Order: sequence, then structure tokens, then C-alpha cells
Amino acid sequence: MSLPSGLPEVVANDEPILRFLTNRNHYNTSAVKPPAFTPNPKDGCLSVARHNAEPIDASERMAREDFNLPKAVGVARLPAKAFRKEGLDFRADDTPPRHADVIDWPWREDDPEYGKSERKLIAAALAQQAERLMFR
Amino acid sequence: MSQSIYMPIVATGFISLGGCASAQTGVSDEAVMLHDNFARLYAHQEGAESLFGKKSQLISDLREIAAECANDDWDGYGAEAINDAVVFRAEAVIRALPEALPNPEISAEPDGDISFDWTPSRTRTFTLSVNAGTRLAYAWIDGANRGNAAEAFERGTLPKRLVNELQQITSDVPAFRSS
Repeated sequence: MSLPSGLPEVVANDEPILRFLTNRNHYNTSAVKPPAFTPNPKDGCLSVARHNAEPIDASERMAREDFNLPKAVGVARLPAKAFRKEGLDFRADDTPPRHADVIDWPWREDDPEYGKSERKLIAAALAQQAERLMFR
Repeated sequence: MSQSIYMPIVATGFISLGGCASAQTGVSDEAVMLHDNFARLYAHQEGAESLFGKKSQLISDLREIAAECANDDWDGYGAEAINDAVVFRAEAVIRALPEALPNPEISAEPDGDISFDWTPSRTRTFTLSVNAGTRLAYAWIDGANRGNAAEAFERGTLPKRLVNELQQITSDVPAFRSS
């Protein structure tokens, strides 16, 4: 089944996934930092784009116009299987086009700090593997 | 009712003072002077530390990050603002860090926490989060080894396990760990 963007509803393991980098808490001069992959506490998800990043101009336009991230300065790119290896999954909704949420993060009501440590471990693992591509 | 009397004697290396005070009815002039001198000494030491050293730079970096992230949605994804209580706790963590450690990178997180990250290589990471509560959440990756934990941070002392793992990650020697 296809979404309006033409992408399949289920994210394939070999699909490139982009996390838009919007501020210096997400990256340093050479790498992506773990906070770039820390999910939003309001919905428990991590917002990503299903796109190859190349050409980079297209990614920049997507970030600023479709995803309403005027301060985006680059992307962190990973294959979808890197997220699934950490026990995560995707919910593709095409809102905006090519948008997906990374879901199934560990949250522990009985021990919120321990749940946070589990999410930090996942975020750190993703950051280690991510490719950092900056907009020109 | 008996009146308790105590004699505080303090040797600081700079000031040596003896006094006699009644705990029930008030304090003597000597005890007040003792307290004032001690307070001035502590403030001087605290000020000296705050003027020099890498911890002063870390605290400066922390305050800069907190100021940049003082409003909600600072990341465009709906992040929560960093509040003063978190900054206060993060400063306490900075002061508790062993002196020999390299400086971490300080970042704000979407849930309003502060993250301290050490990444000495592509395969070694230690990351620590500070919130307004009493426990620290942390995780580490050292090649194929990885782990996470949450422990109490009380009385200005970092948990031993946290310090051990952090020192292991940031050491120059490759770690050999038993499973």
C-alpha cells in the first residue's frame, strides 16, 4: 500500500532516514551528538524524513518548507535498519510528505530515569553510526 | 533545663580560633567571628575555583546553552525549555567531576535535561543526563560493550560506578572487560 508521496506504508530496512539537525545541541564539528536522536517527551517519538539527503539542496528545501524547520542546518543520515536494530520501528504518516515517526522507545513509568538511560543508550548508538551532512 | 555549652575549635591552616558558646541562649562574639571568617574563607576558595580552571569554562558553557534553550521549542521539534533547577543540578555535577577527566560536550535535550557527552573515539561514548531530580541517567558504549544505569547523585558525590565507567571510556588504554 502506498502513501500520497508514493512511498510504501512500511519503511524498508534499506531506506535512508534523515534526522534534520537544527541547533548546536545536535552536532559538533565532525559528528552527530546523542541529543539529536533523543525522542520528544510530548509524543514519545522521534520525527524523521524518508529521504536520501542527496541532492543536499532538496533536503534543505524539505526541512525548511515541508517540515517547517527554518533553522535546519544539516542532516544526520542512517539506514532504517539501524533504528530497528535498537528495537525501534517506524510509523509513516506522510504528514508532511515523507514524514515518519520513530516509535517504540523504552519509557518506564515506574523508573523514569532508568527509562531515560535506556533511551540515551539508543540515542548514543544511533549518533555513533550517523553520517553528518551539512547544508551549504 | 540544663544549658548545653560547647567549645568549637577550628584549625583551617589559615585561621585558628577557639570559642565558647551557649547553644541555648545564643552565640558568643567569638563564635560569630569564627562563622564570618569561615564564610569568607569558603567564598574565597569558591571564587578562586570559579575564576580559574576548566570547570569554570564548563559552567560558562552550561549557562550559555541554558540561555539559548530558555524557551520552549528551542529545537523546532517542540523541545522543553531548560529551567533553573536543572542548571543548578548540572553545575553541581560539574563541580563533582574528577579533575583528571577531559571536558565533556554539554548539550540541551528535548525533555529539558542537560546532557554531558564524552566521545573519545567513534566507538566509545559516555553520555550523562541531569534533570531537576536526584538521580542521574547515563549510558556508555565501548566498542561491543554497552550499558546504562540510573543512580542517585547526593551530597555532591558522583556514584562510584558512574565514575568508574566514565574513567574507563575516557582512558587512553583500550578496555578489556569481562562479560
